Amino acid sequence: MIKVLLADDHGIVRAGLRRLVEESEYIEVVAEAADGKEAIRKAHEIRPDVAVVDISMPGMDGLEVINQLRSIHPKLPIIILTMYEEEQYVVRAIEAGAMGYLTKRSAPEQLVKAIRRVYAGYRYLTDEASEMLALRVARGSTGKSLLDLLSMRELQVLRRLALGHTNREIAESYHISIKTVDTYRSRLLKKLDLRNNAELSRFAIQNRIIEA
Amino acid sequence: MDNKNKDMRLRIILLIFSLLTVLSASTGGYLYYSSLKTAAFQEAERQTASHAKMIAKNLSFSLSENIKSVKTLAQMEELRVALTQRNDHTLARANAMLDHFNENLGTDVCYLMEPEGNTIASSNRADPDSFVGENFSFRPYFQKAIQGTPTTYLALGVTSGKRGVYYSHPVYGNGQRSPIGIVVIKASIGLIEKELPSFSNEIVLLVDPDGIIFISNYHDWLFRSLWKLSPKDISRISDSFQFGKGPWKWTGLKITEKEYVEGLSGRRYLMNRLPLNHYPGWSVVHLNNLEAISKMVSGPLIRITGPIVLTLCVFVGFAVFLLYRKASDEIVRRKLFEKALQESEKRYRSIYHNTPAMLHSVDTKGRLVSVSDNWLEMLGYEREEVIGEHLTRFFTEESCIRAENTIFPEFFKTGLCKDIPYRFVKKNGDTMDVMLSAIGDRDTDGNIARSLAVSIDVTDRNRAEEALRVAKEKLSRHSKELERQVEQRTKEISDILIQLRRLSGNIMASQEKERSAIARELHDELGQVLTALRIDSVWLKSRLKKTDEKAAGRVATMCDLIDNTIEDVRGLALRLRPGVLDNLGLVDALEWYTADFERRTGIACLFEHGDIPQIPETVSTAAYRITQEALTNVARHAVATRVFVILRNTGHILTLTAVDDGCGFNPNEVSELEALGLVGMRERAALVGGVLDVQSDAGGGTRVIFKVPIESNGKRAE
Repeated sequence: MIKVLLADDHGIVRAGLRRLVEESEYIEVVAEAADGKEAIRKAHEIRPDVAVVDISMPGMDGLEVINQLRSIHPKLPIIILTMYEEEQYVVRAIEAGAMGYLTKRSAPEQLVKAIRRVYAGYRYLTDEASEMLALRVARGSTGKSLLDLLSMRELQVLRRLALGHTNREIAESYHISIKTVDTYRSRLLKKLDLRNNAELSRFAIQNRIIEA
Repeated sequence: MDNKNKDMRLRIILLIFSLLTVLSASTGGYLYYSSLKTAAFQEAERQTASHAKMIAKNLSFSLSENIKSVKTLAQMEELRVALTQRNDHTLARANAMLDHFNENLGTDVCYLMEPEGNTIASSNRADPDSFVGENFSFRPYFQKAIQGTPTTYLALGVTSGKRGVYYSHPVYGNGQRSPIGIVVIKASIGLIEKELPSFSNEIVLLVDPDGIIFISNYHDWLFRSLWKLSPKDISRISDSFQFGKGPWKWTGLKITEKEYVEGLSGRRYLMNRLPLNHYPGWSVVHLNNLEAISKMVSGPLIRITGPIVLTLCVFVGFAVFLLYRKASDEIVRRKLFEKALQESEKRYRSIYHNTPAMLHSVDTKGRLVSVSDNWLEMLGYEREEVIGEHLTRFFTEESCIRAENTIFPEFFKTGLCKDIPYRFVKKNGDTMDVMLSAIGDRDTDGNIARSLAVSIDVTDRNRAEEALRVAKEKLSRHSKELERQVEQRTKEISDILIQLRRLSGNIMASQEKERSAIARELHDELGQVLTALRIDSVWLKSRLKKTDEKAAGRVATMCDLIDNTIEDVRGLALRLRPGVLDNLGLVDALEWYTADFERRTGIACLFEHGDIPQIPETVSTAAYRITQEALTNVARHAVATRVFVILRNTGHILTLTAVDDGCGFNPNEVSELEALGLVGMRERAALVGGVLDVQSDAGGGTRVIFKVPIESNGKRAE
């Protein structure tokens, strides 16, 4: 059985989540917490296998909770569960040490899957979030480089172009116009002093934005 | 008038000078001519003298021709025999010898005389005027020869009546000491006379010691005397039979100078007198007509020197004429100039007096020399009242002191003064303020002789200035008061404004706070409940799927409804205030907002940011809201294809720039609502101590720049 700690300040949400989790035969909610402090204390006392934490709780910031949990239990996989769907949160959470990220909306369909994956030692992220994360990591790891010149969106477009996606595909996946994609592309070429998509690909590989 | 006299005098002087020049040139020419003439004359005289000498020599030679012949003849045996053994035979032989000599010598006659003086043989014995038998013992040639002295003698033949030259020589017998007779050769004078120069301008005279002319080319004068003879001389000459019976009139020649003689006719001659050899007391007189000499000398001279002198005279005359012309022109020019000067002076005087300005001149003592009409008019004086008066008499006391102590000494040193304020006293006692400027009029030595001054009436100006000054002061008092009032009002208004701004700030802050609260409430409370509802619905749906499909369908619909509601709530909350801003900060908020903007509008929105420190919540809010407003404007109006949002931290200034490539706008033509939007942005900027700048050109896009000072530690700079 996978022992799970549920931390959410909303009782009804906790109840709903408990029901969701307990549908599964392998997962058991061993503790519940209504705020960050409680979550830390319970995690210390009960030693769950996975912690599911709401990012915004009164008293202590969700990210801070992650930090503290990590410092006490470095090996405890944490899944961030949140109302916020903005990617920025995802990245922050992962940076803080979370292994998975879920919006509460997608919880009914994905929570069990997520708990099992992180328990198995994998990350659990949406495609978009993992992409952003990868890009941030790529940028952060190279130190001062040409990548610093690029905005996150430009990095995203760079990555997709390097992977051989068409402008239409990129536009669709980011819900932007083809024209806008083209704008990003021309700006990328100008900023990086490149001439075509082939050169963009080479650049992306050299800077570990994509795998060779 | 004076000028005319002067002019006349100058002309006369010039004329005299010209005449003198011509005269001196002529005199020079004359002197040159006469000196040349004298030289030529002397040369002529010298030539004449040598000519005379030559004639004398020729005469002497001619008259001595037969001296040797007679000596030879005297030694002839036949003659001696005839004298010693006189008979027909010896006489015939002697006559033959005489004939022979006479013929060969070409003489007149040769004859032999016995000691008594009778002619015993002669070459002309057959002629009618034969000498034979004649006695010529009275002749000196006989008397001297019989005494042993050969003699030459010139005389008129007693028998022949012809002039001749007689050569006598004693004839000696064998061994006898005294002569036994004499022989005589008489030669004609005619040939000799013919050899003399033909008579024209020179007269050659052979004169005996008494002055009787014996041979001459001027036959009229033969047997005349050079000078007047005394009766005693005449009788002596007559007794000698030498020159016939006389009367030996005087030729009329008078020796006036040493070498010049004058004839009765008044002709002047140059005379050369030379002794004749072999004829003691005789002389050759050579007379040369002076006029002829003069003519001969001066003719060529005049021909040579004449043109030179004439040319010289003409040249000098011409030069003098030119100079005279030039001088005349100069005089005319000067006269014109003088006239112009006079006119100009007159005009100047007229201008001086009539100029509508106060002009005056003072001498070195400061006394008025002249004043313009205007001067008199302005001060109310008559000319007679002021000329000669001291200028300072017309000054106020204060001006007078200043003039005498400072201005006058300085002026007479430098010769210049400018805009000196003086105060004149008019005749009626009023005062007049003037600005006086003057220059010094210098005499030929360069000393200032008098001043030329102009005074400008500045009384009115001074009064106006004074009035203006008073008015200005008053105005300045008023304006100060006004300023004070304005300041007070401004302070009041600004106090109100500050209050208003504070209020506005408070309103905005509380609005934000409220929005934040509502957003959180919506998002967290309502959202969570909806989420919980959704979890349950999904659970229900999966439960019912197996048992009641219809109910499951209803639950699915409910799920969708819940999803939509969550979405709406989320959107509402985000619009009110995005949680990212509060939870993650400005950079994440803008990153999310720009991406969301792009998604919503299709306008490429590029967000760039530098290293941004922790910044106060108020500043973040302001920056976020300004970006929101700017991008909203872009989406509404700009017709842009892309927009850049750039966040930079330059030193202690946070700069947010939003630039689009849209159509831009004219700030004067924005609608009230949009203007309010801009005002709102400005207000937000001002509230956090920042500034907002909106730059836009029609067609050139819009640039919104928000700058706010921040401290590196994240606190807002106050």
